[in-house]
Amino acid sequence: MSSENYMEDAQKPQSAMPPQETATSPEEHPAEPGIPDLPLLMHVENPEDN
Amino acid sequence: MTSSGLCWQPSTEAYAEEACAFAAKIKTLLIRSAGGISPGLRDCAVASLDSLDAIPSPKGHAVCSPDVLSAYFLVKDAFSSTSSQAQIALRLHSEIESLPARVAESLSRAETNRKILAIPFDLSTADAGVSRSLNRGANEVERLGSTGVKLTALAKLAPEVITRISTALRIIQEVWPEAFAEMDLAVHRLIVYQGHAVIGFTDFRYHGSIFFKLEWLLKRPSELEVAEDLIHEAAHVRLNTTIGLHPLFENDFSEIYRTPLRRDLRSMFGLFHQMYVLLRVFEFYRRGGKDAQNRRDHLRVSAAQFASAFRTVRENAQLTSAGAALVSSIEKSADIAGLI
Repeated sequence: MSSENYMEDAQKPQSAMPPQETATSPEEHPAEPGIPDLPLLMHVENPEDN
Repeated sequence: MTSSGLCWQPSTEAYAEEACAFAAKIKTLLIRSAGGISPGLRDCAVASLDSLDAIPSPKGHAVCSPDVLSAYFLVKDAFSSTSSQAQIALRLHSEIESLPARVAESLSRAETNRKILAIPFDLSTADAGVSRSLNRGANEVERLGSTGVKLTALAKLAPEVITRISTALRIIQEVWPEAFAEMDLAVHRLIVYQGHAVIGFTDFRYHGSIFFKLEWLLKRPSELEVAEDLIHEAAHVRLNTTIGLHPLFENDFSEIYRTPLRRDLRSMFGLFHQMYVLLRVFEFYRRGGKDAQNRRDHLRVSAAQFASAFRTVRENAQLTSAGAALVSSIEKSADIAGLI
């Protein structure tokens, strides 16, 4: 797929990493960050693929 | 694996170490989050995760399955749900309680498939997490402008599809046994679907799974390219495990860059993934393949694409210490191979 057209989820949070916690989540813990909600990595069809 | 020892090259030892750490993190956070919903749900999570640990498999392997990550994000999402606490707790209780049985069945199916595919991929599409990922894929590509996208998982694969995948996997096994062995551990599920607009994807919310469009698999020129696709998607899964443990860069998602694998601009997350994946793709082709001319063409393209992604990362990434270690290992290998 190296010549193809990959992309990640463009609904990107405006921060260095996607938000790891919701406001009320008890996961919040300064010494132990949560698991990031990483974007989808997607390969989208181009017209020339067809 | 400490973050200072991160390396781009496939390694079952390094992956197993990261998988154990990742599993421990998932367990801690899932139990804590479940406890935030109800004490009963917390007890349910503790019991389920203990049962998962008892499933005969490499340490941490069962907890790192797509089903568990899917449950984890369902619990996370519950904190922003408008449903009643009782409804949420009931739904999640069922989801979490059934995890050990579902994961054990998935691992069992995967082992059965090893006889056919040479690798333990669960091909089943029955899990609700599969539908959720396919819906996310469809929604995302519609957001980018496609309309009426519906991705439908194939519950049964035709013999020609199975043959294509298994032949590709055996090429990887022969050409790059280390990559094959790492894939054996890191990728739990392979889902083939029908639809349009989306050729394939990897979803961290169903981490450990890779998705391919049927028509794409069948129209690739040869099994060599299918092998490349598998190397590519498995590399996304592998790097996501690392990122799940160690942030690699501090760039804001609003910072976007030109990249070799797509026309529009991408965040550092997408760019970094491309760099990592392209070096693995290059290495796959460098190591061999029966069709020499075809291989040389792919080698030339992947080398140029890698060099482009690497330059942009080098110039723009605000690397953490973990990111710097990983980029350093990439740079060393790329330098030796004459890519940069």
